[in-house]
Amino acid sequence: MFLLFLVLAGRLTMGPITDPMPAVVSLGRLDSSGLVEVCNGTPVSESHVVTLFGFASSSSPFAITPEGRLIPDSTIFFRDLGLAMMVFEGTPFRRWNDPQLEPPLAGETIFVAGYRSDGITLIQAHAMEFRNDGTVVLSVPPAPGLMGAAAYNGSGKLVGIITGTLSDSSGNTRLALLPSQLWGVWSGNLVAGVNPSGTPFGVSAIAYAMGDIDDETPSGVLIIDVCQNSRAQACGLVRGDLVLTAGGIRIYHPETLRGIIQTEENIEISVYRDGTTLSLLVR
Amino acid sequence: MKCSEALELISLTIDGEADSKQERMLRFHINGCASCRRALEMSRTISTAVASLPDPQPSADLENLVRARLEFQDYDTSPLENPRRFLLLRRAAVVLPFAATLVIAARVFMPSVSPDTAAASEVVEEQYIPLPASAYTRPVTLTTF
Repeated sequence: MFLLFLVLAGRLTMGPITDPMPAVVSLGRLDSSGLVEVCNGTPVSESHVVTLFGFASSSSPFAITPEGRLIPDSTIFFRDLGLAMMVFEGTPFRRWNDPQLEPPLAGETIFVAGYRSDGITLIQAHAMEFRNDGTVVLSVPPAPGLMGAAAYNGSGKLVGIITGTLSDSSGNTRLALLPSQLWGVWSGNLVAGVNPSGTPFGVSAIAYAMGDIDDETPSGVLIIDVCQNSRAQACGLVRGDLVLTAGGIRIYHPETLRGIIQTEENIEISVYRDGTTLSLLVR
Repeated sequence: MKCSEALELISLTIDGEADSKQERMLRFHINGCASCRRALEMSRTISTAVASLPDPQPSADLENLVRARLEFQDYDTSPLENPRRFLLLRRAAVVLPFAATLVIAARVFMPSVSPDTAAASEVVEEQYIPLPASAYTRPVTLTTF
């Protein structure tokens, strides 16, 4: 009865999801036996769809629409986050969502929308556990048709994509949510046509996730090297710095830092160095 | 207690089905778990909002409509509301077995097709299978920019 209440209440409060359908696209690819393997894609513009790297990188994926199968013009891969962006000619997608750059709240209700063989499925979950690398474990187990599914909060904001499964603290297999906070800058810049190689900032960096429970170092982007006479050096970055935020957005991957620095000026970044947090200004 | 167990207890508590021991265990857990505390608060809010919705009221002439339908005994004459659709289905029930027989005969008497041809045919292509759920892992690579 309680679950029924939740579903009813969700349907009353969800704008974009019920009006009339969630912005999610069914994608297919032919496997070796000639069957069509289907996954979900999340439109982030009229012509851009974000989906899973593993699905888009093999065979030739296509979007399954009421008008037929659409082959993308190009596909851009983001291996580190396990995502790919399919770019289509024209404007085939009537509904899309801008990715939210804030993570879901602890315990927040999340609605997962994906395509099954019998149509769209909508599952309600909670944001249950937050991993050091920025991923979120949802409170529900995996179910057919949810790989690559779009996840929305109760206000209908796109908060992430289902990228697979993770074990929770009890050892149970749950859905893994990759929050749009981690990839929204990347996808936003691609949609806006920003040149990803643009002006160099002058760093080499990797994603760093906090290790065991005694490790007090926060998660962020670890600076491995800083070039001489670069913007990075001018703002005061040094080797070993851990960048935590840029422009107020929590950073878990170098691509997010690159995206923000490329598109904005006078960015304030917070850096963890020798146990303290500093604030630097990137001009 | 794990968060997954706490979420089940939240459901029981909201439904008023949790006993005093379960409520005590949940209270103890949420004292130290912000995630489950927020889940409980949100569940209570939703439950209260739904409870405040007005009960659906039957129309004033519902009883008369039911009695009239019983009187005319048309309540179980057809499971379908549309008699024309029912007629179409009756015709389909005759035509479909005939068509199926033709298809089977064609498969038996026609020369067999190669596997490549079968894979390319529409019949095989229309079989959709969902991508299986797999464990999520993320590689870490050096990025220079």
